[in-house]
Amino acid sequence: MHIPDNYLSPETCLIMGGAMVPVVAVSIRRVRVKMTRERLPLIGVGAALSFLMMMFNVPVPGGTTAHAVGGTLLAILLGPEAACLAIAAALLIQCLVFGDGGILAYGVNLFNMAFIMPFAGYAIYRFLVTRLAFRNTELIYAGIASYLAINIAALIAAIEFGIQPLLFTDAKGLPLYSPYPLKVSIPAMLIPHLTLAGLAEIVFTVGVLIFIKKVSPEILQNRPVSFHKISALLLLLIPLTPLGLLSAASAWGEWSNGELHQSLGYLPKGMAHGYNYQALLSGYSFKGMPGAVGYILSAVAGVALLVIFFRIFRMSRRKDEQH
Amino acid sequence: MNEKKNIPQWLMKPDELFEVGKKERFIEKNIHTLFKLLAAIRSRSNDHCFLSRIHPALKLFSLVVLLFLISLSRSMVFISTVGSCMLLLISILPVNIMKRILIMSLTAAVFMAVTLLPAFLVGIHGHYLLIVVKVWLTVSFSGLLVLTTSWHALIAALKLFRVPDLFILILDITLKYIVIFSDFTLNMFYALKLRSVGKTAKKAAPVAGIAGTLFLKSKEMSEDLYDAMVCRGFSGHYTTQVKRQWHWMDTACSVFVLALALSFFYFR
Repeated sequence: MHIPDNYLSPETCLIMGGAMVPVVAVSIRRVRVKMTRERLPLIGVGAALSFLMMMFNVPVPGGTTAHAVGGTLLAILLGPEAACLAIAAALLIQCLVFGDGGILAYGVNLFNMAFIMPFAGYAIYRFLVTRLAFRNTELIYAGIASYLAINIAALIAAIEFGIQPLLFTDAKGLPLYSPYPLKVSIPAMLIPHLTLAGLAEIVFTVGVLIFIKKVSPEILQNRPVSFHKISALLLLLIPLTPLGLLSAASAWGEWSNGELHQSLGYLPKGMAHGYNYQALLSGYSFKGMPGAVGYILSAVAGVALLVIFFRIFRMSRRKDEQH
Repeated sequence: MNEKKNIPQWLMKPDELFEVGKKERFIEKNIHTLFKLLAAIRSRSNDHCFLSRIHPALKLFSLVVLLFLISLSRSMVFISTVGSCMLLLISILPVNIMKRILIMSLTAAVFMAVTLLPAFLVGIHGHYLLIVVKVWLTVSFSGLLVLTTSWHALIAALKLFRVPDLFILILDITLKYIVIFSDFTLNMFYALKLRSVGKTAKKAAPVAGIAGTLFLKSKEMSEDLYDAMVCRGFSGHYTTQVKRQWHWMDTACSVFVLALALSFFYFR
């Protein structure tokens, strides 16, 4: 679901990015007010968790791949505003360091994955839990909410892809950016997410919630938490990330220019002459290193960067409180 | 919480000891610097983390090996591997050490990047990133050693590497006397501040006095120190207690260095 650069027109990116500014600003303010200082680094752990979950690509019918995001899981664990910040940080590291998702398209990716997914998932979860309160149904509701939320986000991403050829064409009527119209993009995005990616999201959400309920229930009850236990979960996930390499294909809407040219027969003009950012560890791999090792190292580096970022953030917050 | 409410409001306000933003006076500026230096040295004794449990000698040896490997390597793959490990190490450090290492290493890396900029602009950019990352790594590793080991443990580790006794003695005394002299100078500046009134054109004039007094004082103290040491039976041999139990962190450190050394040869 990480939309690369040049698939969407700069106008789309600008509007969506602009829309995300107030969302992020309000989230930061609410997190500052609501969350205690002891729980702040949990956002970093949440971001690292989401980062790792996005590395588990699952192969889907049609020769593409998709992945879970964990938006609903983080919203249930930390609250939707903190989840928004956590996923925003994970997406930022992904686009800057690993070239996954575009820089211009960062705002759009934020909108889909850091805004729609946690807030929609949390709303559905709260609705189910308060209206249909039976015993021991929270996990089931979490699963349902996560499944619906990832599909809502995928639908919105599909609409963003699909409206491009309607809005932006050149003199010959050929699309300038993403070439596929709504009737192609919506099924192409929704079929993977209704099937395997949705399933992966349910498995991750429910699995992690069960783990946390057993090992560290204080996280769910807004109390100070022990980070050793939750870090163990991250350390457990890192060596498993190469499972995400089992499917080598690109995800739908994330092809390289070469791949698109081959399947389409031409390259849309806006994409051929677009902005091209070369990330340091493009595609989560190191040149000349076995794929699995590179993938694990990328996971380590990404997780470490997120944890460092949020621990420093917490320290600056502590200084604010002292003054 | 109730206790907090009883504290009057004026006590809760942060007290600015030194006027920040305004042009500090010469004496105050010196006091400020010395004070910060002393505070930094004294707060070091609190810096304990998992890396402090590694034997200082092993840590020093590992640092030398890693610095060699990093500077000899021309493979971006190896450097990225070490970089990932470095990030992991930094992320689990106590946050005060983490911040200091990041500030130190990133400053060095940015400086290197600026220094290399002309070469980059001329069009030589083959190894630009490699060199910057190498600088970041070497400074970070040195920072890890220095910030997680007490100076006295480091000097004791030198003994294991057959560094001459005289050299160790000099280092040891230097470290101790940096603190003593800083304290002494700080007190002289306090005395100067208490006695100075109004403005003077010769702001730097007292410095010569302070430096001169300090030199005389140090000469006196060094003679006293030597006499005291001889009285206690010092014969020029420096003995240190370095025996210590093997900790599992020592094994972890050895495995880490060994793995990186193997990957150095693998990714050549």
